[in-house]
Order: sequence, then C-alpha cells, then structure tokens
Amino acid sequence: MTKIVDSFKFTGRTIGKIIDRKIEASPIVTEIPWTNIWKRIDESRIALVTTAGISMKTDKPFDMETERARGNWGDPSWRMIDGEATSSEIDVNHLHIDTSFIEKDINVALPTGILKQLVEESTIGSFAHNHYSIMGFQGDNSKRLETVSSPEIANAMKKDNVDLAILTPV
Amino acid sequence: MIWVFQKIVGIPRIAAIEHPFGRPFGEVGDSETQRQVLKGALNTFSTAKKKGHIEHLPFKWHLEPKDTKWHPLTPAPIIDYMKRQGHI
Repeated sequence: MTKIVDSFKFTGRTIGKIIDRKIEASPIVTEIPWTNIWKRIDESRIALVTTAGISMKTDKPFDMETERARGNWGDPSWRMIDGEATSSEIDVNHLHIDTSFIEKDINVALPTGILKQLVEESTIGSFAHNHYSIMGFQGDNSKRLETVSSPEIANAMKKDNVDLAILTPV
Repeated sequence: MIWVFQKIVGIPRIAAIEHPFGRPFGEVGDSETQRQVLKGALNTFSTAKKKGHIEHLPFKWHLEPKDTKWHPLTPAPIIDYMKRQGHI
C-alpha cells in the first residue's frame, strides 16, 4: 500500500491548529504554474531554494529583530548561497525551528554536498553556481516576497542557466 | 512537511515527506537518507504529468514525534502575537 504522508505528524496540537487556521484562511490557487520537462534529469542543471533563513557568513543575516518586535512579520528579502557552501560557511536565522541541526549539517535542509555527489555519479548534469534562501515565515503579508524577491531569484537562475529548481521548505 | 498547505498555494510538483521541521532531507550526518530523499524529489520531475502532482515519499523518521526535537528554544514570536490577539 502506498504511504500517505501525515502533514501533522510532528506539529503538535498548537502548531497544528495554527496551520489549520492558515489553510482555512488561504485562498486556493487554481492557476498552478507548469513547465514541461524538456531535458533529461542527468543533463539538467539544478538549483535549490530553501525557506530556512540561511545566509552566507559574509552576507547580511535575515532580520530577526523586527520579527521579534512585530510577531506577525517575516523578512521578505532573499540571499544567494554559494553552490558549494558548507555548514561552516553559513548562518541560519529562523525563529520557528531549532536551527542547530542545519548549522551542524547544511544537507539536512539545503543538500549542497549531496548535489555534488549526484553530479559525480551522473544522476544530474550539474548544480547551479548559486542556490537561494528566503525566510519561510512571512506573517500575513507575502506580497513583497512574491512580487519582488521571487522574480529576482528567478532572473538570477535564468542567468545561471538553471533547468530545474527544488524548493525545500523547512 | 505540510503538503496539505503546499497543494493549495499552487506548487506545480510536490514531493511530500514525513520528516520533522528543519530536517526535510534527513538526520544530521545521515548522507544516505539525504541522498535518497533528494533523488526522490528529483524523480518527481519525471513522474509528475499534471499540475499539482503530489508524490508521497516512503521515508519514515527514525524517532517518534514525542522523542523528536525540532522546536526553537524560545517559542516563535507569532505564538505570543496570536495569544495577544486571542487566537490561541
């Protein structure tokens, strides 16, 4: 029998109720974007986009102070992550999860090292020069993320000749 | 991860996984599971033939929810905000 993933297995009661409320309040998107796959996976260039609030240590971290002050707000900006970034090169700022696991091993949320292995064994064609990170929590206003950050990320991917992008929510 | 939410926000192809928040690809240092999960996600590009396809990946987390730590040390600010608003 095929496994059906239980979305609420790890949420606990309070977080589960919050997510339920969010789902009930969210409009159902009926115009789902779609692009046919035009290349074999083993010839494709892959980029990752994580919602984990990861930034390179050399870059400005995501804004946690404003979220702490306002509660119902999330940083709508984005960060470029080096395609070969390792755990020691990143910061993780996300107030909704225990970030220590990602700090120990970036591959639990942004598997840069695993992508490298998949290139070596020819499962994928190549990995992108850069991956991308956003803050998954946006409170009740994701407009800037949708209208500014997302198109900027898409344009950066186009310049890098990315074929396929995997969004990795945390 | 919350595929029931992802399916209403217009994600074209979803690879659903029953892993805790913060570690969708697997446990720290478990490169074999991380690799299998990533390959499962990549495979969804081939199996999905129509918009909104959901692939339920067959992985089982190695700990029960009560033994799985994923919460931040301090509750997220939204919790306090919602309490102040009387929502929880």
